[in-house]
Amino acid sequence: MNITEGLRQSLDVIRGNKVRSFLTMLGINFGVGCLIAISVVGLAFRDSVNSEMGRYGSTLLWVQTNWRAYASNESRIYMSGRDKKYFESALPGMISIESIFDANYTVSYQGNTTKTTVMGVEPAHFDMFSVHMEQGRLFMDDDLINKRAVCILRPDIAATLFEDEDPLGKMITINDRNFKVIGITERMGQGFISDGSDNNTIFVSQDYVATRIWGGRDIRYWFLIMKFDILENVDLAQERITHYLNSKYGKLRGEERFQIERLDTYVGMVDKILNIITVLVLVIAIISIVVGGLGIMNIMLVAVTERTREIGIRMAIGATSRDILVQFVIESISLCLLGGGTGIIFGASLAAIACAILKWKFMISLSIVLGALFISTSIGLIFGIYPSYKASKLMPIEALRSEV
Amino acid sequence: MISLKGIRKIYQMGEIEVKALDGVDLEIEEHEFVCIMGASGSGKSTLMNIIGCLDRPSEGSYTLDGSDVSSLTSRELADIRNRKVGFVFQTFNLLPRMTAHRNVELPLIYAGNNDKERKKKTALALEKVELSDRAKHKPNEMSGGQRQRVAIARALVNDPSIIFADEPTGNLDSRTGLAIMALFQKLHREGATIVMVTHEMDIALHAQRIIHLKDGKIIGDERVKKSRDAEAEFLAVADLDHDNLSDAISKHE
Repeated sequence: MNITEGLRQSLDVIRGNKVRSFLTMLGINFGVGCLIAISVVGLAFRDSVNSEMGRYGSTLLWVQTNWRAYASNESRIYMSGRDKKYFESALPGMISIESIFDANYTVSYQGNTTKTTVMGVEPAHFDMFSVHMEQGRLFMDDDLINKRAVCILRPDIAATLFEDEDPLGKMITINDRNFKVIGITERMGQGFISDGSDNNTIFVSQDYVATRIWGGRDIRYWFLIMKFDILENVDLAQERITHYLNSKYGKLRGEERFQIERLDTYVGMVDKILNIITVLVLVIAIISIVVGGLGIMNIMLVAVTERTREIGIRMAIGATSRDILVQFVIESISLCLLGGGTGIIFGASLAAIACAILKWKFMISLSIVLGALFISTSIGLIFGIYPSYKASKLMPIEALRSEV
Repeated sequence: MISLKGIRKIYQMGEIEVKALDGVDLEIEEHEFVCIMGASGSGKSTLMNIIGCLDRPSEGSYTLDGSDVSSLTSRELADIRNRKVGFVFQTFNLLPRMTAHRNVELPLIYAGNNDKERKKKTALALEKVELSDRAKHKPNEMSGGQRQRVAIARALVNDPSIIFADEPTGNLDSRTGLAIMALFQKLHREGATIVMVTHEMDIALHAQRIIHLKDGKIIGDERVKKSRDAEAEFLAVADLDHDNLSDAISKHE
């Protein structure tokens, strides 16, 4: 008996028992659907993480004052300009270093007054955190050299202060000093890392804050972010910074005064969570597939009993045991493949919906589809082989006499 | 061609041993048309199943075309059922989901014939039983006689040397039965060896030789002096019907 013929007969049988076949393949369908959905969503998630990483690079490291180590009224230690200079000179492979300063100030434009976060940033900031401009321009070297009092607004604060007016070129007051608005940013997207700003933040040049507001005093940093060329240098930097800060400032009641974070550990954490979810869904999928396989086995046993006479007839006209075995195995595999095939469609649709909602890129790889088909085939084989073997071992005359 | 020596078939029914066949010796030559007769339970079907390689004897030796059947593997037995013998059953035993064409084609599939050969042979077999126009019908769309002719076509399709028929007319009315017997006689004239089981003398008299079985033993082996001609009988019955009908029924004007 060849495979085409076996398939033809299987389809006859499946068509002849539509409801039963449908119910039987549901378990496989659901299991394979879960497998496909989690694979595709996982793939899409990793892709979205990777594209975020591509934007930031995974080689970011930041140091910040460890607020938790301090009691509420205790005076905190910040990093100094000298510390920053040390990092710039002592850490190999550093591409950029940036500090962020922020404080709440009263800001006003004509009668509109409100309190909001003012963030002192360096020119590299906008690139590092992927802040894009809606209108106007970024800070330029020229602004810094000439110590111009300029600022960039997030869209919400622009709307609050200016309502329908065009903010570009207008002067606003921040903490009693005048700043000229040179740009409005786009609304914030959902980035993987954030600089702590929101849609109400005003950006000013840190240099200006240091020289004009702080009056030339050495600036104190509670936050420094550094970008490196390769991960090895991040490791090295983490080690050196820890050593440097601990030996200079010492620990506080056994706790570090500064905490050092790396983007790659965050990604690793998210990856871990995704892995846990993946394992859970996999377990559900596997249980479902195994239960589905048992369902297939059950229905195949029923089919063999029901069709004992048919088996007898086939043997009487020349079918060998092997022919019968192959026929029933093909039938079982066909059922599983039907379940698996529709499961692929079901899972891919689920994943497509999830990706559309999360704005991830929907990708389905050939290997996932082939894997699902392979699993379905294996299940059909594993759970179909026993009933088929039973069928093939029937004695022709006894099978023929069967009255079922 | 067929040679049985000391064939016994014993079934164990709980404590009781049932001897379905109790020492049967039998020779059947090529081109014979043999009927095995006997009451129910006489062992005639068991005998036919053993000769047809559907069943194995408990004891005794069976030689088919010079080869000892008891030494054959189940695969070789399947091959014999496929190519050397063809079966026709009382209950037709067609596969209900399949068309006549597919039913007839099935032995060729197991024989491993390719598409083209299968089409040709199947069409030929259906033509022999005059059912070419019913090829696309399923068994439940056909009459009993038509179904049995499909079954005969299936038995013929691989060009077997022996045809076994187990009460082939048992489920048919006598007229259709005669038509089927006529078909067997035609196949016999064309060279087939036929072994048939029946309990009706009327049917048995169409054969050349009648073997009587009782309680698992052969109690008679006779030549039929002059076999009945089923074709002629069938035509006579058909004519009779026709005449009787026209005599018996007058049209309402």
